Amino acid sequence: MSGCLLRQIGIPALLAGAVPEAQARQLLEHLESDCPDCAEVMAAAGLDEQALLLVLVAPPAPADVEARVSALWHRSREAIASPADRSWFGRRWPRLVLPVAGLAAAAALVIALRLAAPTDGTAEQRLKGSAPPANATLAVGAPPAARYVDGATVALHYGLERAGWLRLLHWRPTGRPTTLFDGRADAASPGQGVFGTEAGALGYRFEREPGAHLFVLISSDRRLTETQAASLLDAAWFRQPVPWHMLESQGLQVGVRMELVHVE
Amino acid sequence: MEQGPHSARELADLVRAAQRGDRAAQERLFRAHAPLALRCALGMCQGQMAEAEDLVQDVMVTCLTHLSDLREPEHFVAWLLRCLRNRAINRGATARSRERALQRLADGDTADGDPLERLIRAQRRLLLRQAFDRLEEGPIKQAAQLYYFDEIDSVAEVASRLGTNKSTVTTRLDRFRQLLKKRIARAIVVRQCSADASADASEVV
Repeated sequence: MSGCLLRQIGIPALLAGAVPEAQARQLLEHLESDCPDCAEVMAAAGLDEQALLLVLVAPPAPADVEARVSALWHRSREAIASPADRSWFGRRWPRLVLPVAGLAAAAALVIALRLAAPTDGTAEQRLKGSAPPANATLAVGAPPAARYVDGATVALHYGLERAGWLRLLHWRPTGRPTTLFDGRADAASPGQGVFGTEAGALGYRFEREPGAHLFVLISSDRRLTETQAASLLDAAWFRQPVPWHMLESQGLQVGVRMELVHVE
Repeated sequence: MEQGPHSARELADLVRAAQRGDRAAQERLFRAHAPLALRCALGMCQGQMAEAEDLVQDVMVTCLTHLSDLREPEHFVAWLLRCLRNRAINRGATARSRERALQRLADGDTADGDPLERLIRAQRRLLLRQAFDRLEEGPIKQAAQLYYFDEIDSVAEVASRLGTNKSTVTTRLDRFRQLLKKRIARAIVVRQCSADASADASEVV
């Protein structure tokens, strides 16, 4: 049995401010000691510096917090309905609605374009995604300094001149690339995606390694899955700047631009 | 107040039950962690209760409906806090600062106007100094001095100044970060004690 008081009290109780007063005094003393287990306890809870700081600076809970949480639970519980509560169809019909509606909309769009197709074929070309992807403004950094150490939260700041899909990938000489951020950006609307760099953060450990690249794939008209992105990657891209590529993805041509944001 | 799980094992058991679709466990998980999420959200939304509640509802629903994605149940609280922070940024809680942040990064200017970020940075600086001052003279202190206080951002450069290799410096800095986390945890307990004391005082009054 470990003699670590932090382990006995538990991180959940510490963060919730639920440490009994007498124990809190002992815990203050314990945290001054050189107990080697404390670090292990915090690591086991997956806590990084940012999470702890967020709790530290959080204002006290409002006096009526219990009533507010009850109200929140009642507002949320339907959305959190257990999959086990529903039948097979009940579980799956929400997933079917969007693809079916999407197919219907796509069919309607194709019919409409065929009926009123411009003679120069521009609309059809756009539908197939053959337009070059948008130019982008990108910056990766962990304010206040644009550096990332293990445990930091890193932000990708982006701005696209036209709407498009962004996928921030970490490519290492060994292994497949890993997505750190994936999202759609609207034109003239800068945004920010955040990813963690510590073990367990978003299920991924950001390991610095010689030859690793951090880059963004920007696709013009459709989102690329990670598998598609990985299969489309060509090491030659890293060696010479190419403005953008036309790539085949599931039978459609997709314009893809790669922007290197960091090389180790 | 909902009695939440205290130990890591209790929390993991509760998360696993919720992952299996146990409605009572889901409700207990929600009620136990929503107060902490609400406190943090209030900080992010600069005290705007309605905005903070929307954020918490959004994040709690997302976390609980995607609970099966959480591979390490012991990490639930860390995961929840990370989701909260990311969602706050993405949904525009800091929308006003986005353009400025983008511009600042482009300009290399590191000043940040967001009050919460300023507060976090100030606390971090303070605790960083406390953790540093408590270190005995030695290799860990030397590495921390160069990296955090002399602002040599590169581990390779620190290693070169100390005449050692990068992995040794990384290990020393990891050790220092563990001490820093301990200082932050201690500061959380200090805050709780002073909040309890002022609550007691107000009851007396």
